[in-house]
Amino acid sequence: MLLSAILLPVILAPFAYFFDRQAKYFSLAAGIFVTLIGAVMWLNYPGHGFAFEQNIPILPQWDFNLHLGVDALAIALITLTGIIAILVTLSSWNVERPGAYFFLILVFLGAMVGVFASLNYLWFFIFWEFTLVPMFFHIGIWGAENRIYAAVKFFLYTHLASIFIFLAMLIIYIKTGHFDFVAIKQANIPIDLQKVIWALAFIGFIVKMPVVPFHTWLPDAHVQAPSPISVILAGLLLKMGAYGLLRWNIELFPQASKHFIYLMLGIGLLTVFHAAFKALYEDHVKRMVAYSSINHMGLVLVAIATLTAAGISAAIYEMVAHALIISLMFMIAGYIHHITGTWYISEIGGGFLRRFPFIGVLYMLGALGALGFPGTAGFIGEVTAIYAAFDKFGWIALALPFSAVLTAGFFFWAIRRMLHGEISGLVAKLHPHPLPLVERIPLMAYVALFVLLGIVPSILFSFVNGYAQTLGKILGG
Amino acid sequence: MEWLIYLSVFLPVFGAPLIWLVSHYTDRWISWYLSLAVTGLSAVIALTTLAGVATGHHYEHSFVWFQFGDIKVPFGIYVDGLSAVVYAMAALLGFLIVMYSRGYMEHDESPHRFFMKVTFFIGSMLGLTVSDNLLAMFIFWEFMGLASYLLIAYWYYKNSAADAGLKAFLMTKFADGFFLAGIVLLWWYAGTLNVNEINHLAEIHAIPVLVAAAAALLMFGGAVGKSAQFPLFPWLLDAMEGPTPVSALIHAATMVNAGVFLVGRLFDFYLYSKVLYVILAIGAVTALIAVLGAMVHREIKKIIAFSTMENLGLMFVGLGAGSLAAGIFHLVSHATFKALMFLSAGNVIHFTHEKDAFKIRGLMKVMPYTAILFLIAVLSLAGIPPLSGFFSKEWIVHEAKEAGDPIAFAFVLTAAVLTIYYGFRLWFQLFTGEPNEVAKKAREAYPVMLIPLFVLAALTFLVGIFHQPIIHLIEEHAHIPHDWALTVLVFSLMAVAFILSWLIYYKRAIDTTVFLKDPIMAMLNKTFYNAFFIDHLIRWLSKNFIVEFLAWLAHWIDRNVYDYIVNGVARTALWTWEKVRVIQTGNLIHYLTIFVSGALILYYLYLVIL
Repeated sequence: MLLSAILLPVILAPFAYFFDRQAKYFSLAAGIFVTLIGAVMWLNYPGHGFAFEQNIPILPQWDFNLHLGVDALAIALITLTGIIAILVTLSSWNVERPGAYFFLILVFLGAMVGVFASLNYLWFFIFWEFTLVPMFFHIGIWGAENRIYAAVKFFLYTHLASIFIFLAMLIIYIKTGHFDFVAIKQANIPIDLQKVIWALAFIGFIVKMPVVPFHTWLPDAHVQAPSPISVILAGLLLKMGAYGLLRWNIELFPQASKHFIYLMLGIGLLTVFHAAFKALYEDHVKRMVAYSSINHMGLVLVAIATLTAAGISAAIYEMVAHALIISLMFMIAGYIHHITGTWYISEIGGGFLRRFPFIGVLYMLGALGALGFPGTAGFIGEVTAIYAAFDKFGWIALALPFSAVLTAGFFFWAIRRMLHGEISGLVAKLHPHPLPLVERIPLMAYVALFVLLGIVPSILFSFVNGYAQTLGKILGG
Repeated sequence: MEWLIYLSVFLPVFGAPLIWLVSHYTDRWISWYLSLAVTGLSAVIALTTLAGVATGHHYEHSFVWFQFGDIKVPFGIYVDGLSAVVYAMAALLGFLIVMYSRGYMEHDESPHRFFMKVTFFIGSMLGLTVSDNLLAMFIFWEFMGLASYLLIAYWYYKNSAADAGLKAFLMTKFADGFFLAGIVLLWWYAGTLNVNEINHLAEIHAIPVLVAAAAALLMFGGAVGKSAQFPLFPWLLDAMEGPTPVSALIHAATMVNAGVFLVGRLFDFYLYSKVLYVILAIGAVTALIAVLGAMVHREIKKIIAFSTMENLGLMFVGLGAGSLAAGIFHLVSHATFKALMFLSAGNVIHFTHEKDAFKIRGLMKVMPYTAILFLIAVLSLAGIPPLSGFFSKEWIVHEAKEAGDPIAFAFVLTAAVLTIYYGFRLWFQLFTGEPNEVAKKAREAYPVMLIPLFVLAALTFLVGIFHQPIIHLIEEHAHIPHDWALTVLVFSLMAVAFILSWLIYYKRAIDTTVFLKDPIMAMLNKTFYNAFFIDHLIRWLSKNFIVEFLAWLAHWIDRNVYDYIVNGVARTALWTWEKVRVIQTGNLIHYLTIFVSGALILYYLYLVIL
């Protein structure tokens, strides 16, 4: 089952490349397929441990086997991957050169499922690297004016980070002779070496998340990327970092993890507030969203740092919430740019909402989600993360609610300058821009999903609770 | 019964977008009927609940909303006397205001947008009053913040309205940061979010007193924002940019009461936490600043806004002095007469198209009903028996005296006495004398705008006459103390203030503009007018400290530290490349040497590390 979710997109990819006009349907079909696989696994997951395992020997003597298996965390993220893939396809319905575009989307989709489903470190790493290539071309070909610079920066940056993960993996392999998750977990690695491995992989993962100080690639990549690709970047690619951290660092080396909680907390808090203040300074519609995205991932890191069941639940929740909310914001930022022809809030100068109510209202809804407004998934993620952080770290966690205040500050100030107010000269001259239905659907779907998760959080919490509880117990003991 | 209470909250909250949707695709004014039906139903449920509570019942229901890790997050309702009174009051007032809005919004282009937001607003307030735990309260608290933002900035295409909305949202949101921090702190130490359990834990001293004090102060920080207390009140004064029914909602029925209600709901906890003195002090300062502002302002709604701020200050004084019933009873009493006052003022503004009180004169002859209704509101505000304001305000002044702080008492007394001055200043100015040009163009309001006002006027009397049962519902065994000496003192001072007001604004015997020629008086006038420049200070700080300094600093660090590190790595790589190029000689032996030594180094590292 898992193998098919990886292979189907990859097999469809060349067809998409050669059948330009049908490409989007292939992509849609693959997205639906992955979502369905995710849903089936979701419903049939036994509640603990790895399920739906497949082990395909490739080079058994080097422990290089395609060992697939998922637990609640991976199933949640695979389902999210499928959903985002569907929505991204719909948003890219009228893209230029669809063949190549959807070819890359399909390759990416397969690799992404592979990342979440691999229980073999080497395969994980291969899939991990494979996600970069489509992104590189997406940004480099379909991006904005400065796309080549951004694509190369993105590639070099994250690729450099991968080297650290590669080193960590190599040390593990040299020491234990295993790439397999289960085997490594049972192997007896000295604690000091565990710390070295942990630290190396940590660098690789947090570059991808990204958090301070390795975050500067993200705003550049986002600004140049076309909006649907920004959605993939924010909604899925960043999740890989947090996922990797949870799976290949914390789950694998619970003892070593405990030595790094204050490092994670420090970086997390720094990220939260640095990104929030930086966003407050931004005049660029999309960079503001990018920094808001970084701000959320900082919160995810803080929640992970607690190493408690509550904190890990909160981190997963916040990851999903972030995927839905920030994706919407990136799409809207892209449309605003497309309609007005400028990226700068001060150049738009007001009155946008009156001319373009649909886009404007969605921007406001996304902003509410981003600041963790009750009724959106952002609220649940934020409150649970703050509580978990307080539980572990005490009073310092009480600074976190003010991150939401800052988010309210920059987004609603932007609303004031851009959407509200008297219609500016620029906005008055704009032509009406009715969005086709196929592009409206994903936007409304993001809102529907994050509101649904905001009102009925148990959908996700009850599913990942077993995972978080087990991990919390291991880390607590 | 419990499910009906849920219905009364969730129907308006979740139904609001549907009201918009249905009306958008049919007739925009259908939204009014829908909104009226929904809020009407909520009001009926709320009044039934009040009746039930009055006959000795109380309603509670709770369920686990979700669980993360081992922590269960509850959601539920709890209706006792305290919440029932505020709940019923909010629902009834909300219904009346929706009814009134049909007339006030008659020329609006998108009434369905208006009624969607108003319905959502009312539902949120109802949710806040019946919630049994702090997180649920916080959710509805935030909903109200959003609703007030959307309604204040209802005419968002006007710069002033957009600015006012932003200010309201950010100031209250800033305060909410403290509130949420307080909730988390208390949640962890008390191990529960339930308000009754927290009150109980406080009674048995199960929460460390320092923690309790910190949590109480943090949560009060939220209340300071929501209930427009010093120093976070400027948003309330600017909130006048919204349509007048919205002002009535914000000032009387919903938003600003939330902070007072929060402290009331956790009153045992607040008593235990020993921070009531802070609440008293902030309330007294706010009341004084507000009353001074109300005395010198010109705009009808601004004056009433200052008046709201003053009364909220008085409510906190009542609570801060240690009397739950005094604070909450004043909340109810104020809600009725302030809704009446705002909606009467709405009539004036709607039919004269003029906001500046000093451009209107002699409306009595044109709008007699409105004049009388406005007068009832002013009398109640001033504290004339048997109107509701008399009982509640006297009580608070008494409590302030008993609290034993002469400065706070002086502030409160000044505020209470001067209320009658600015109340009649406004009324005399608007309604007495010969009608001027502006007044002549006006007409009496439509029945749909007058009927809710008559109901509110009746309520003002009823709350005054039946104050004792209401007070008993709020707090058993509480009663209004009779302090004749104080009453005589207050009334004689009020008489002086009234006569001054009468001389200046009715008889026109004193020309106040003369005083403004004196530089000190002019300066005082300016200070009062600008509410001690708190707004300017906050704006200065947020612009110069937060945006221009902290945000700029983050920007600078991003550019010059983080990016520098990255670029530094890139430069190092390039530099290394330059150096290493030397060894790229094309000589096979050189390559081999490098390769072998590299391998040896790696092998050595391997031995050492592993």
